[in-house]
Amino acid sequence: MHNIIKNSWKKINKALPLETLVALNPLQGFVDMKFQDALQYAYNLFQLQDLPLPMRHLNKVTIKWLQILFDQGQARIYMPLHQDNLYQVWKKIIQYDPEIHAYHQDKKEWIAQLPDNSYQAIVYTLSALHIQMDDQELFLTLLLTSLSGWAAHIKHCAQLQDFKNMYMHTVSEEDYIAIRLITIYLIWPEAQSLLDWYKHSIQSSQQSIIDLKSIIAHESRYRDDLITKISLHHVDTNLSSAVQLVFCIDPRSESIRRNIEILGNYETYSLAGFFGLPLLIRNACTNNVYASCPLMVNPVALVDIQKPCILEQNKTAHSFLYQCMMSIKNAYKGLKYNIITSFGLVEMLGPFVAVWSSVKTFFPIMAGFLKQKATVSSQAHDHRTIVYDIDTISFTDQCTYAENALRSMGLVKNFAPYVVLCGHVSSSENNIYKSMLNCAACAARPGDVNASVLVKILNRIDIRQFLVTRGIYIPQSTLFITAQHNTTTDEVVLYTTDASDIINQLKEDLKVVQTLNSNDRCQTLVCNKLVSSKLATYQKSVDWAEIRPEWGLAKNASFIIGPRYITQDINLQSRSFLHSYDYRDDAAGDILRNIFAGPVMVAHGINMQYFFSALDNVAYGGGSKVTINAVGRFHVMQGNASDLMTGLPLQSVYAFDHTMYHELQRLLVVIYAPQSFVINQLFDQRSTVELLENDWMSLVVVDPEKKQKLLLHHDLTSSILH
Amino acid sequence: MINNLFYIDPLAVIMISLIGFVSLLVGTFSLRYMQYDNQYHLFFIKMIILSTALVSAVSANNIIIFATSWLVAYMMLIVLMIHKFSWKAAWYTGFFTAINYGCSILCMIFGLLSLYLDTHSLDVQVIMHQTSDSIYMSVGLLLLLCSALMQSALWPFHKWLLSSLNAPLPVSAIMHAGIINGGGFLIIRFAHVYLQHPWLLYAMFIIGSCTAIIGTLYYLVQTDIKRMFACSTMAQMGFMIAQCGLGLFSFAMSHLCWHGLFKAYLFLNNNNNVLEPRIECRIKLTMQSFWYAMISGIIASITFGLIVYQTWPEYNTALFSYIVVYIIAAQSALSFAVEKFYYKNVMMMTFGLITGSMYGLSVYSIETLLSSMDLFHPQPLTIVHLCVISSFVFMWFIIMIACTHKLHQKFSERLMKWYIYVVNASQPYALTITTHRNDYKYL
Repeated sequence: MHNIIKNSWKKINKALPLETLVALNPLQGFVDMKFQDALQYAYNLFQLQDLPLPMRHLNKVTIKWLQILFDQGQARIYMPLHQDNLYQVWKKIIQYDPEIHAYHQDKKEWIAQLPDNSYQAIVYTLSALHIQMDDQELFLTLLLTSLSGWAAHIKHCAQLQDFKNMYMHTVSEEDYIAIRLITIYLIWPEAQSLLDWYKHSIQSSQQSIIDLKSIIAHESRYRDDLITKISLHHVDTNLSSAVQLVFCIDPRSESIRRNIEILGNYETYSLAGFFGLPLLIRNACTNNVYASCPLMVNPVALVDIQKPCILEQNKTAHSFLYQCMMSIKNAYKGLKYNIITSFGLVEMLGPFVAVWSSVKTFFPIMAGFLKQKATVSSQAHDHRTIVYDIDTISFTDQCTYAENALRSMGLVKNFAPYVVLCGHVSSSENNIYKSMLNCAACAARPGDVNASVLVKILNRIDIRQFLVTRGIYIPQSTLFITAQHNTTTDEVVLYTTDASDIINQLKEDLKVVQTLNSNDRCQTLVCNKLVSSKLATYQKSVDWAEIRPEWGLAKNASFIIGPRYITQDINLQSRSFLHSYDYRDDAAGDILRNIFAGPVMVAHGINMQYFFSALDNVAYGGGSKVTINAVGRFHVMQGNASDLMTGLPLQSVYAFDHTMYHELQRLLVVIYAPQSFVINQLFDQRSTVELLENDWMSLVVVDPEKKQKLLLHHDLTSSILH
Repeated sequence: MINNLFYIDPLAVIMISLIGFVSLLVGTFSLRYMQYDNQYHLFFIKMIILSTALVSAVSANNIIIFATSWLVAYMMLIVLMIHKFSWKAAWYTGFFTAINYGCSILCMIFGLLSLYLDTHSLDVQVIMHQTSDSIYMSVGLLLLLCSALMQSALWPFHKWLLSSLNAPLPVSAIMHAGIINGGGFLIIRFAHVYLQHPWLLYAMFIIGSCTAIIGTLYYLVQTDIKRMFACSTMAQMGFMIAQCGLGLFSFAMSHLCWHGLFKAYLFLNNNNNVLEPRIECRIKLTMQSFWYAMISGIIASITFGLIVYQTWPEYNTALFSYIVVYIIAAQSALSFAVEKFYYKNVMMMTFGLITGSMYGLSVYSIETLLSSMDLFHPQPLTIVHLCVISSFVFMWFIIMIACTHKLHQKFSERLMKWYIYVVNASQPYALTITTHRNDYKYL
C-alpha cells in the first residue's frame, strides 16, 4: 500500500511558491520513460479536457479549504482551529462544513468514526469505495492529477523539513491522499466509476496532439547550425587581461559577455550563480532566513547580512524617521483591516493615491526615478552600506568554497588585476512572478549576496595563502569585486569605491554594453518608442502596467560546457547556458561530474519548464497574467477560484495569445572534451544518463583531440556530426 | 433641445471627472497591460463605448436617455468582463452579472415610469424637485432604490460581485472604481425626493449598514486578494448607502469618489501588494495609551468638524462622521503606542490632527463643489441610528482586539461554526469557479 501511494505521487512534481519560483520539470516523475511515451502518458493524465461532475464538486470543496489552510497571511481572521496534521484538520472541517456532509446524520457519523491516522483512513476508504487492488494506484493517481497544481504544492510542503503554519504542524503526502479519498467518498460514494470514465475517455480521445516529429526536426536544425560554428581549436590566451569577469551560467549573461569582450581587454568566465556557496542568509534586522543556493544543495553556511536597519538602541534622527514609518505602516494596516476605519481611510488617502497612480500610469519613468530616490535615501538597498558577516563560516569551509569555485570555472592561473564576480537579479514592478526572473541557482533570489560573500573570502590574505598550497596563486595586486547584473535593464553595477582607470573604463564599457543590449532587447520586446531604447528598457523594469518586463529564459536551447574561446565568435542569441570548463585542468573528472550533477540538472529543469508551459499553457503553465488572482500570498489561481496555476504564465512563453515565442526543444548539452573522458565521467551519473537514454536531452561531444564532433546516442555510442 | 436632454450640474461634473479620470487611467494602463492580448483593439473599442455611455448616463436629463445609457454601459461591462468567451467560468460570471444588471435596469425603467406617471415629465430636473407623495412616487422611489442596491452590489444582491473576478484586471479596476458607484449616484441624483420619504432613508441606512458589516466580515476571512477587494468594495458601498440613509448625501458622494480612486489603485497594484511582507496589526492598550487615544480622537474630530462644518457638532446624524474620524484617530494612536521612540505622544497628537484635516479636506472639497445642490441634510438621531452605530463601534472594538489576540489557538466549536458559515456565504457562484484546470481558456 505504501508503494501504491508513493507511485501515485511520483506523477506529480513539486511546485515552488511565489517567493522562490525556481523552474522545475513538471514531468520529473516520468523521466524513466521514453520522452515520447511520457508525453502521451502525461497527456492522458493532465491534459484531458473533461472531468466527471462529482469530481468537479470535489475539486471545488478541496480548493475552498486548502486555500484557507495554506494561507500565508492574506486573511485577517483565521480559522479558529489547530491540529497536528492536515488530515486531522480536514476531519474537523468536514464535520462542520454543510457543503460536504449536507446535514446527513449517517455521513456525520461516518466522519466521526474515521481512523486517526491518514494511512489507515486510506486503506479503510479504499475498501469502502470498492476499488480493486489493481486499480488502486490509478485511482489515487487520478485523485492527484485532477487537481495537479494543488498536489504539486502539497508535495512541496510535505518535503519541507520545517513546515508549520497556523492550522497544522505537518503535511504529508498520505494526508492529502486521505483527505481526497474521504471527501470523494462523502460526495460520490460510487467513485469507482471514475476508473471506467478514465479508461473510456483515453480510448476515445485522439492521439496526443503533440507533433514530436517537427520538434525533432527543429532540434536537429538548431544543433547542426550551432555545432558547425563551434570552433575545435585550442586558443591559449597567455595574454594577461585587464579585468576578468565571472558571470552566472544563465543564458542572459551571454549577450553581456559577447559585447563586453569586444570592447576591451576583458576575459569572461561563468559558473552557476551561487558560486558554489551553500549559503543560508540571515537578515540581522528582521531575522528572516532564506537559502541562497540551488534546491538540490543543502544550505549549511549561515551568513548574517547587516543592512542599515535601525536597532532600538540607535536613537539617531534616522532612527526616529524609521520608527515613524513603522508606526504609520502599522497604523495603516490596522485601519485597513477593520470596520469603520477602513471606510474613513479610503477618503483620507483617496486624493494622494489618485495623484500617485496617475504618475505611475502616465509617467512611468518618472515614477520609477521617484521610487528609486526614496529607497536610496532610506538606504535599505544601497550595496555600499550592507555588511556581510562571514565569520560564521569556518576557515576550512571558506578555503574549500574558494578553491572549488575557482577550479570549477577553470580560473586557476593568470589572474587579472581585477576579477569581477557578477551575480544577477531582475527588477520589475507589480509583477507577481518577479522571483522567477532572478537567479535560479540562488533559489530565485538576487545573486549579489553570494558574489559578495565569495569576494570577501577571496580577498582574505590567509585564504590566498592557503590557495597557494593548493597550487592556485593569486597575486597580491589582484582585487576581487562584486557586481550585479540587472537582467531587465542590462545594467551592471560594480560594488566598489575603487576609482582606478581600469575600473572607470570598465564602467564606461558596461554602459556601452547596456545600450547595445537595450537596442537588441527592443527588437524582441514591444518598447516605448518615444524614448531611447535604454530608457525604454528602464521603463519596463519600473512600470506597474508592464506585463512582460523581460523574456527571461524563453528560447533557451543549449548548455555549452567548455572554455570561452570555442564560442567566442558566435552570437548565441542568449539561448545558451555557458559553463566555463577546461578538461585539461580536470584530470580526475570531478569537476565535470559536478557540472552534470548540478548545473546541467538545473538547466534541464528550466528547459522542461519552458517546454511544457509553452506546449500547453493551461495544463502545465499559469495562463494569462491578465486574469490571475493571487491566493494566500504563495501562489496564483485564475479568476474567482481554480486549481493552483503552477508553471510559467502565458506572457513568458507566448508573444501573443496565438503565437508561441519560446521554441519547443529539448536541452542540447555540448561538451568540449575528449569523447572517452566524457563517457567515463558519465558512467556513474545515473540521472544524466537516464535523461540521455530516454531522449529528455541530447549530448554532443566536441573532441578537440580527435578533432571530431560527436552526437551521443541512447546507448552511449556516438555518431560523427559534420 | 440638447439643454433638455442633458443637464450639467455639479453632481454631473464630479461624476464626469471621476469617470473621465478613471477611464483615462485604466485605459492608459491597459495600453501596456493588455498589449499581447488577441482582443486588444476590441477591448479599447468596448472601453470607449463604456466610458461614453457612463458619461451620458450621469449627465442625462431625460429619463429615456438616462435608462438607455445605463443599459449600454452595463452591456459593455458584461462583454468586457467575460473577455474570453471560451472560458466557461468567465461566461457564467458575465451571465450572473447580466441577470443582476438586467433586474436592476428593469427596476430602474419601472421606477422611472412610475415617476413619470406621477409627474408627467421626462425631465430629471423636474422630477428631482417634485414634492408630491402619491403612491406612484413612493413605488417609483422604492424601485429606484432596489435598482441602486443591485447596481452597487448591496446585500442581498452582492453575490454577483463576489463572482466577478474572472474579469481581466483593468476591467475589475474600472468596475470597482466607477461603475459600481452607479447605485450611489442614482440615489444622490434623486436625493431631494428621497428626503421626503424618511422610511426609504431608514431602509437605505439599515441595508447599507448590514452590507457594511457583512462585507467587512467576508473581507477579513478571504485568502485570495481579488475576492478580498470585492468584499471590501461591498462593505464600502454599504457604508456609502448608509450615509445616504443618514441624509449625508454630499458625504456619500465624497466617499464614492475617493473610494473609487483608492480601489482602482489597489486593483492595479495588486501584484505588488501580494509580495510585500505581511504586517500584523498591533496595538498597545494600556491606561496611558487609552487616554492619549481619547485625546487624539478628540483633536481629530474637532479639526474635522471645523474644516467641514466650520462649527461645533450638533445632535443629528452628522455625528456619525465625527465618530468615524474619532475612531480612526484613536486606533492610530493605539498603533503608534507600540513602537518605542521619542516624541511618540506628540506624534500621536499630530497624527490625530493630520487625520482629522486629511479626512476633513477630502470631504470638504467635494462638499464645496456640491454646495449649490444642497445635498447635506442631517436627520434627527433616533434609536435606530444609535443602535446601528453602536453595533458598528462594538464590532470595530471586537475586530481590533481579535487581531491582536490570536483567536485561532483556542478552538471553540461555536466560533468554528460561525467561521464556516461566513466562508461558505462569501463563496462565488459555483459555476463561476474553474473546477478543472483545463477548463480555463485564454483564447
